[in-house]
Parts: sequence; structure tokens; C-alpha cells
Amino acid sequence: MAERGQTLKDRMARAGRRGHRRVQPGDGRHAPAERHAEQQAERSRAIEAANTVAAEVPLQTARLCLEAIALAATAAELGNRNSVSDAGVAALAARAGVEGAALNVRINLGGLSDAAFKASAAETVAGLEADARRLCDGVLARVAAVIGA
Amino acid sequence: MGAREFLLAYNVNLNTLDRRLANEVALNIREGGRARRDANGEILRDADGTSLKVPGRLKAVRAIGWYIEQYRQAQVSINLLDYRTSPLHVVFETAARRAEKLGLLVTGSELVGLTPLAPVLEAGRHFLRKQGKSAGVPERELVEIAVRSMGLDQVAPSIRRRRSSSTTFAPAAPLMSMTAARFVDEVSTESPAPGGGSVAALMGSLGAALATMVANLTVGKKGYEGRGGNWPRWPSAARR
Repeated sequence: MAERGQTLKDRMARAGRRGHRRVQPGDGRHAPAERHAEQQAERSRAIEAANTVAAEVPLQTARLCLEAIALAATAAELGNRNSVSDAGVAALAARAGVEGAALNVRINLGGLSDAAFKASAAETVAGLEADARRLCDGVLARVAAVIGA
Repeated sequence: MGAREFLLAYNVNLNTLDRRLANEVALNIREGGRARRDANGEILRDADGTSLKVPGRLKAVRAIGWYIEQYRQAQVSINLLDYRTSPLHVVFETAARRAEKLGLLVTGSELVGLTPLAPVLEAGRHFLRKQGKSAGVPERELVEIAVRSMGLDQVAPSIRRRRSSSTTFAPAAPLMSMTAARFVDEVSTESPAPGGGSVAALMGSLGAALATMVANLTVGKKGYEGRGGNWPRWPSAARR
């Protein structure tokens, strides 16, 4: 389990450096009014692709953070009782990661026109959030039971 | 089709000046083995005149023994053609066992040139597990334990350091190489990154690290015996 945790930690640390961000209207590249329709379409496709990536990156972060909560759940259930509060902090931190990444997914979906992708990503992220809350609440209940609070 | 595995040039050093002893270790471990001989020491050949072989212990390993004037040591010089077939630590330990049978000691070993990180990390995990320790430690520590266990810094410490910091490690992520204080400062500035995305990833990463700490504080502790590598699978929700 510790090996899995190290891998997860490193993957998220690497994900954190991929600073993908929604391309916003007026972001650097201005399209001159005389630009041909074809060029405009090309530009729209490029922005759509960039925004798709910008939504997929936090989606992956949310998935990894959910794995971290699952790891915390195992730690709380089977780990050293003297460290059970650490498992609780782990779950809370990772839950903040899931919900924070979910906010990023949603704001980045706003710039997309691909309705099917938007619907599917929104459904996925809602599922990840629900799982995160349920698992995290379970960890906190376990922590409370162990420390007798 | 299929890409050839990364070839590792790997040498195992012995406490002897005798090239023939090093070669004896090489013949024992290499896939090609040695020539089969009859009772009079004559090499046995098949109908085509090709010499018959007694295969060695390790697949995907080529090896020869020689003497290195510069180190004043005999050395088993190895080309490891596929470290997935014969892991680096297995090559090291097999050579060490054979050396011991010959009354020799392995004094260290060296990786020559570019080396992928994976076999070094796997070696680190192997030696930790062998000690009954958790192998869930940061990559840096896995490299350190591998270096110490196989004596990778015996003859060329400076080369070893350069290799492990530049070619066997992924370059440090700029955000993740900041101190905590610097990162917090950077988040507070008006530049949009690092922002919510980086902070969310960091939170998850901290959560994983803390849960890992609990696991490491559990494995091998009194009252928690048997909770080694086989903790239960992830809760089903996490497997999606």
C-alpha cells in the first residue's frame, strides 16, 4: 500500500506542473477581422482542443485525489491506531483535491461546444465528487470511533 | 516488430586481480554459458563443428571477465540486454553468489553510461523488502538504497551522482521544486498559475503522502504483524 501511495503522490505532483488553463476570449491571439472563414474555423478548432485538454487535466487530478481518499480509508481501517488522525487529515486534504479539481473541470467545460463531451465529463465529475464525500465521511466516522470522540 | 530493450552496461567488481576468476563468474551467469567438454577437457562439438554449450544461469545476459588496471581489480563486465527478463539486482546477487563460491567478495558494481530509472528503483525495492522494510519510500531513497546495496558508488562516486540526478531522474517539476513558503507566496500573486488546479493537485498529493505515512507506520509494527504488501484492494469506487 505504501508503494501505491508513493506512486500516487508522485503522479499528482507531476500533474500539478501541467498548468493547463482555459483559453479565454482575447487570450493573446487576436483574430483580425479580415481573416478568412477557414482560418477562423481552424482557430475555433484549436481553442476547442485546448479547452478539452484543460478540462481533462483536472478530471484526471480528481480521479487521482479520489484514489488518495481510498488510500486514506484503508489506512484508517487497518493502519496504526496511533496515526488514525493522520489518516483523517489525509482524507480531508484529498477530498479538497477532488472537489477543487471538480470546480476546475466545470469552469473549463464552460468554454466548450462539444455537448456530448460536456455531458459525459459533468457526469463523471459529479460521480467522483459523490464518491469522495461518501468515502471521506466514512474515514472521519472511523477516526472518531477510534479516538473515542 | 517491437523496440529493443534498453541495454545496460553493468560491471561487477571483485576483490581479486585474477582475470580468470572474474571470467569464471561470467561463464556461470551469462546466457551463452561455456563450452561443454569431455573428460579430457576437449571441447565437444556437434556434427557441424559448432561447440556445444552449458548454458549459464541468466537469460539476456552477456558477460566476460577481465582485469582493469585503473582500478587494480578484476571485473565481470556485463551487457544486460533486457532488465525485465533478468533484473539488475538479480544479476548482482547471482554474480555475488557465484563469486562467494569461488572464495571471492564483490566489492561494488558500476552502471556505465545512460541508465533508465526503472531497474534501479526495482533494485531499491528488492533490497528494502529483503530487510523486511516497506518499499513505499520516495524514489530518491530507492535510488540511495540501490546504490548502497550494490556498491554503485565504489569506483566512481561523482559519475554516479551525475547520473542519478540528471539521466535517471525525471526533471523536477518547477512548482514542486519550490519550498512550501515560496509556493504559498507564488499562489498569492496575481499570476493565474499556480492557482486552484495546482493547489487541488497538491492537496491530493499531500493526502496520498499522509495515508502512505500511516501505512509505513503500520507495516512491521508490533500488533500489526502480517500487514505487509498485501493490504486489501482499493474500495471499489476508487477503481473506476
